[in-house]
This record gives sequence, structure tokens and C-alpha cells, in this order.
Amino acid sequence: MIRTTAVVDRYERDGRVLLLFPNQLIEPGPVAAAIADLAADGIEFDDLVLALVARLGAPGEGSARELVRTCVEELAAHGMLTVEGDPG
Amino acid sequence: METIEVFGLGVRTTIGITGEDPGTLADAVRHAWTRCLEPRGGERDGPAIVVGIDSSAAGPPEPAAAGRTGRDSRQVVDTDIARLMPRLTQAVTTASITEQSGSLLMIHAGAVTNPETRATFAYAAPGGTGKTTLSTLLGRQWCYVTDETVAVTDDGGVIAYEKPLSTRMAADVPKGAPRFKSELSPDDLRLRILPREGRIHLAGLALIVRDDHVRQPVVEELDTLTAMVCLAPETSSLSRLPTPLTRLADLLDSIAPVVRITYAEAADIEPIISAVLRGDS
Repeated sequence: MIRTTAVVDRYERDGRVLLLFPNQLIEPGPVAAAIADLAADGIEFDDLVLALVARLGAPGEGSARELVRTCVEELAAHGMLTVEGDPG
Repeated sequence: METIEVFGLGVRTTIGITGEDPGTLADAVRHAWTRCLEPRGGERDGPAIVVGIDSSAAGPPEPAAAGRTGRDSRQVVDTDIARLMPRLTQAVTTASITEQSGSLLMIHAGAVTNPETRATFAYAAPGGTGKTTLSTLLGRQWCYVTDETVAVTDDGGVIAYEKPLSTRMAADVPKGAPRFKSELSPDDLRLRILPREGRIHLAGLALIVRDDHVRQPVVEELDTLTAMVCLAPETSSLSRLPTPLTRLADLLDSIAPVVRITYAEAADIEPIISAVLRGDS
């Protein structure tokens, strides 16, 4: 299960998004922003990949699963996601 | 026990003087905090901090303890007055920031004001990277507001914190300064006095980055969202404000474009900030 750490505040302007976590403010890219949104209430990895492809389309090159796994690991390393079990 | 009230960041802090030679310590506190002894109005009551010299204290504090926040920092004891004074300043600052958490937008920055227009320029940077040096330089031409924390109200007003300046380099200590030279009063440094009446407001903000390798200052204009991301690490308790990101964006939209200035010497940066304070286009 993948879950977004509590987002304190969100700010959007001109297609750009900022997310404020308790100890940091980030400007995520489109994939990371979508993951943070979709995982707000917790989501399984396979469902997250499907939801991301539905929202953003399939990646131009490479595997969607690999791309999402890398992104989830990076966000988790920064404390923005919690991951229970194998992310995928 | 003798007490001294100091006012800064919109907070009244009561300092209780105890320990050995309390008269000397009280004089040192009044001298260093001379610009903070009178209220500016509207201060909220903050904590009491008890401070004292105790020659039997078990040496200087561990670094981690010196930086500790919260109730532990409300009693400050040391064997040595020169070491005690900056610790007191740190304790007052921490307590005042804690008191205003959730109310004021607080940025780790120094600031000076144009006394005629009340326009205030803040320069944000992590601790130990040039805020005090720049405040010492700019404060001779413009009015000293703070070298530590700029507190901004929800309508863009700035609340002064004219604290003592921690000067570690002997070369910075002016002739005739008292022996508590690690902690200098703005008077010791002949910094201009901020008028007591009238509201001051934030007019400009820079993120300052020291780099000995640059020959001339490099000035980069930041769009509001980029400035928010760069500035966030230099804020206190941002996430405790109501709608913090809207508040920060509104503030940055209301002032001159935020700039990042990479510089080697404080003297190089002074004309850039002075131009904004003069209102030069």
C-alpha cells in the first residue's frame, strides 16, 4: 500500500503545483504530483500504475511500472510517501 | 530577583537575572538589548527566561544542548558571561518564534528600512552565512530592523526585532565596545535607529548566497513559485499558518521580484539593496 504523507497545503498556478509537507515545500513534476494526489487515501501499486496511465497516458518510452516504481521510491526517500510492503 | 523585559517579534519576554554578580549581568543585558527595552505596542506576553552566571556550572553546554528549543532553553546558566550572552539571545529568539508560530510569517533574514518611505528590504539566508555582516554594513545607511528573523503580518507589515548582533570575529568589534564582545548592541555598531512610530512594510526580498569564487554579484530574478520553494527552508513554522502557501504567494506577489544574489563580499551587494530601498527603477 502506498500512501501520501499528510500534505499540509497545496498551491496551483499556471499549471504548476506546490505541495507543502510538514517540513518541506516541493514543486513535484507531473508524475509525482499525480502520485501524491492518487495516493492521498492509500492505493495499491498496480492500481496506481493503471490510474497514472489513465490520467497521464503511457510513457513515450520504457515501462510504466518501472517509471512509477522509481518515482515512488524517490518520493518515499524524501518522506512524502509511505510504502507498506513491496512497492511493485 | 531583578527582571528585564525585552520586546521583539511582537513578544514581551521577561529575563530574570540570577547567579553570581547579577548587577554586572543585568548591565550587560540592558546594554546588548538597548533597542528592545521599550514596547512598540501590541506585544503578546511571552515566556520568562532565567539567566545567570554560575562558576561551578559543569563547563560549557554541549552543542546540541545549546541549540535546544522549548522549555529547556528557558533557563540559561553558564560559567562565562561572554558565552552566556549569545545563549540568552538564542533563547529569547527561540521563545519569541515559538510564541508567534501560527500567527506571523517568519523568515530567517536580516532586514533594513528606509526611514522616509518605511520600505523594508529583507535578505534571507541560513545561519552563519552573512546576514549579520550585511546588517552591520547596511545598517549604517538604513535603519536596522534585525539580523535574524523577519516577521511579516498578514497585511505585509514587518515587526522589528532589533536584537544584539552576534559578532564572532574580533576584527568586527568596534573600538570601545564592552568586553561582552561576542554580543554587540546595535548602538555599539552605530546602526541607524528605526523610528518608533509608524508601520514598516516589506518592499523587497533577496535570497543571499555567499560564494568566494564570484567576482561580481550575480542577481537572478525568481518567479513567485520558484521563490516560494527556495525560501521555504528559511521560514519558521510555515506549515502552522492558515493557508500558508496562499499567504506566502500573496506576500511575494506584493513586493518587488524576489532575487537570488550570489556574492563574495558584503560591500558588493550593498548597492543592489540600497537601489531598491531608494526606489530606483
